Amino acid sequence: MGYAGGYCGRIAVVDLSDRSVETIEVTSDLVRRFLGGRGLGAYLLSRDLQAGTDPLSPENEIIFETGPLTGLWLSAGRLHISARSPLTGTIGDGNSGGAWAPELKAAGFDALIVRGRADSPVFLWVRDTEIQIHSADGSWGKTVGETTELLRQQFNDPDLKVVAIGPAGERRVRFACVMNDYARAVGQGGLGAVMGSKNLKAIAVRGHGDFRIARPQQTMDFLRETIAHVQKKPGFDYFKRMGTTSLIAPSNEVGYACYNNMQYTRCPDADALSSEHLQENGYFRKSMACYGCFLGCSHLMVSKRGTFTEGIEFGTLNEVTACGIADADVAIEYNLLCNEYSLDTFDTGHVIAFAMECFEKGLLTKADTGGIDLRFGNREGFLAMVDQIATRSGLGDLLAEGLVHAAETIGRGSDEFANHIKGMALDTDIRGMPGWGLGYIVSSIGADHLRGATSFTIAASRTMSQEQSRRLIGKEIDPSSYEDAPWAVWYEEKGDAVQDSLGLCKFISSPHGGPDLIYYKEYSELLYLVSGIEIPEEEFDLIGERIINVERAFNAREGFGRKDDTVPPRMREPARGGYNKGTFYSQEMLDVMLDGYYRLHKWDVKTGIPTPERLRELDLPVLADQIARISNPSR
Amino acid sequence: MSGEPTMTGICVVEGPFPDNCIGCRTCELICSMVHEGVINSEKSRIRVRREERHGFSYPVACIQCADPECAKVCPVGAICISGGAVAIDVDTCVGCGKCVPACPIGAIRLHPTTRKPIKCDLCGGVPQCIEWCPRKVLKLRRHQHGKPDYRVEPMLVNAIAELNGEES
Repeated sequence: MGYAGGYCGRIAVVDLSDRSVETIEVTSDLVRRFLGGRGLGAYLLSRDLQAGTDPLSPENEIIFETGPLTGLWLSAGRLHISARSPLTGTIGDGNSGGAWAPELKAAGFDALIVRGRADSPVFLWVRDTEIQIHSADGSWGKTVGETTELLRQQFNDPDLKVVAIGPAGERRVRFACVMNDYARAVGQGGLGAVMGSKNLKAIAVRGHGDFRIARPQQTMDFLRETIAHVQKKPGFDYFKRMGTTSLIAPSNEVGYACYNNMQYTRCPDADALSSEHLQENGYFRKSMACYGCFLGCSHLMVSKRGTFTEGIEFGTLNEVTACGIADADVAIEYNLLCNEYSLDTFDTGHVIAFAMECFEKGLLTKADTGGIDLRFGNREGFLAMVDQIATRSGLGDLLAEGLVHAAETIGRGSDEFANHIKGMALDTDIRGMPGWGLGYIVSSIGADHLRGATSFTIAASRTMSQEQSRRLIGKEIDPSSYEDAPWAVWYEEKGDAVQDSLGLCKFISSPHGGPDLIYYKEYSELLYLVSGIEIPEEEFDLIGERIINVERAFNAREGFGRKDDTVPPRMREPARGGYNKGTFYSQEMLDVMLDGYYRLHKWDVKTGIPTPERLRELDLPVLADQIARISNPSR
Repeated sequence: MSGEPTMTGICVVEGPFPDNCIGCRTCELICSMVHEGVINSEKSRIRVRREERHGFSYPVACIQCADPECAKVCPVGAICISGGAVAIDVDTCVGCGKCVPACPIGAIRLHPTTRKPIKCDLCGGVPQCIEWCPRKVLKLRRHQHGKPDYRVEPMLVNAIAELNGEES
C-alpha cells in the first residue's frame, strides 16, 4: 500500500537456500500494531519461527529493520536487527547507529528478511529495490574494514553502505556482532553468528530514492523547536563533548564498575579512562555523528601507537576494567580488534574476565591458555585472548561458546562467578540500584541496559523530580525501593520499545535520555507529520506494552519464565566499594520486584508468562493460542 | 574597494574540538528538504565527503567563484552570476553535464531524476544548511577571486586531494 511518507511500504525477503528474492507489503495493520523496527522484527520472528528453532540453523531468520522516523535529522539513523539469539536462546535483537539504515530506506525497503543458508559464502547487493546475491569468496576471512573497502572498490562507489561480519561471525562465535559503517555495532546476542551460519558475509546497500515526508514544512518547524528543546537539556553539552565515556567517573563513584570480573564495584585506576583524562591526553581526535544526528556523541580516538578507532563507549571501557586493565591505549586496541573481528565488546571482555578469575583460582593453567599468564591486568594476555576467541583457537574455542557453556565445561564452582543473565554478560554492576537491576533481570534479550534499566534511578543521575514521576509513571518513585522498581521499569521498557520501533536514538528521547525530552506526545505528532498516520498519544504506551508481550511470549515458547528472571551468584554477595558498598540481591528482594513487575503487566505471577487473556487484549490472538497450549498442554 | 570581483559562498570553518564537522549530513538532509521537499542526499546541493575510518568528513558546496570554470565550459551559456550566486538556468541548460567535471571542487552534480545539474544557490541569501548545522561549522564567507581565503582554501584543496588519492 502507499504511504504519504515515513514508510516505503515494502519488506524484502531473501531466501539464501533457493536464492529467491521477493517483497512483501508493510500493511497498515503492522504499522498500527508494531510501528516498525524492533516491534516489527519481534512480530515477524514470532510469526515465522517454530518454537525450538536452532538459532544457527537455516530455519532461523535475521531481519534488518528501520522505523518510520529512521532517516530524519533527529538522531534517527537507527538500524535494528532481530533473530533468535545463539547466545541466549531468547529473542535476540539490537540497535545501532551509522548511516546504513537510512540508505536501506533510500533503496526502497523498510526491512530486509534473510532466511535459509547459502551453499557457499555470499553477500547481498541492494540497489534501488533491486537485490542480487553475489559470491563472497573474495571477502570471506577478511575483517569488517577490509570487507567494506573491498566492496566499495568492487562497485567503485565510496558511498556504498555496508553491514558485515568479520572472522568471529564466520566462525559463529556466539557473541559475534554485526557491524555497520566500519565501527557501528549491533552488539549483543550473537547476531553476527547468525549471519555466519547463513554464509552471509555482508549486505551492501545504495539507494537514490526519496524519503518522503507527508508535511515537509510543518515537519521542519516541528524539528526546529524539538531540537532546540533537547539541546537545552541539562548535561547535553557535556555529553556532546564526552559521549558515554563521561559515565566512567560516576560509575566508579556509585559503584557500577565491573573491576576484576565484578569482584569489586570500583576500579582503583579508573581516572586513567575518564573522559577528562582522554581529552587532556589527546585521545579524542574529533567528534563524530550518526546520520542526521545533532548530538554527535561518538568520537574518533587515536592511541599513542597511532591506532584509530571510532567510539569507545562506556560499556566497553567497563569490560576492559573487568579484566583489571585501566589503560586507554589497550582499550583502543581492544575496541578496534573487536570491531574488525565483529566481536561484541561486552561479552568478549566479560568472558575473558571470567577466564582470568578461573586462572587466578587455578581452574585454568598455562597449559589451557597456550602459555599466556592470564592474570587480571595482563594487557598482552587480554588482547591475545581476543585473537584466540575470534579465531576459535586454543582456549578461545571454549570461550567463544559464551559464559554459560564455558562455566559448565570448566566446572568446579566456576559458575559462581560467571556473571550473566540468561547467558548474556553483565556490562555494569546492578547491586543497590533496584530500578536499574530489574531492567537487566527481566529484559527479553538477557542482561542489557537499554530495554528497561532505568537510568533515572541511579544515584548519580536522579534526574526525575517527584512531580515528573507522578505525572509520567503515576507514582512517586523511591530510587532505592525494591517495591517501586517494577513501576520504574514498566514505564521505561515500554518507552524504549517504542523508540527502537520508531527508529529514534535513546539519548535524545524520553525515558532513557531523561524525563520531558521527547515522548509519546511528540512521537504522535511527528509520526503524523512525517507519514500522515494518526496514532493518538495514549496508544504508544499500548504499542510498547504489546511489543514487550510479543517478546515475552516468544521467550515463553522457548521455555523461559520466572526461573530465568534472576541474578548471577555474585550479585547476591555484598558489593565491595563505592556508594553501593554492602548492597546485594536477596531472593526476597527479587521476589518483591518480580511479583510487582508481573502484576503490572497482568501476567501469570507464578510463571512470569503472559496470560492468553492479556495477549488477546493486546490484539495478539495467535500468540494467545500458542501460550494457552503451553500453560495448559492437555487442552 | 579594489575593483576586483568578490563573491560570498558557503565555506567550512572548523573550530577546536568539539566544534568540527561531525559528518552528520544534516546539511544534506536540510538542503534536499528545502529544495525538493523530500530527504534525499542525491538531490542535495551540498555534499559531505566522508572517509569514516579516519574520521574524515567535509561538506562541499559551491564557493561561488567570481570567474567560474563551470560557466566557461557551458556550451549554451546557461550558467551566469545572478543575485550574488553562480546560477544555472535550467530552461536553457541542455543537460550535457560538462560543468560537473569542470568544477575544481566537485560542487556540481546531476539531479538523479531531471538529469540537469544542481548546485548551491545560497537559498536566495539565507542558506538553510548554515542555520541547521549542529556544530556551526558552516559559514558564509566573502573571498576575492584569485586571492582565496587562506583559512578555507588549503583545507578544501587538501581534502579533495586526499579524497582523490583514496578513491582513484
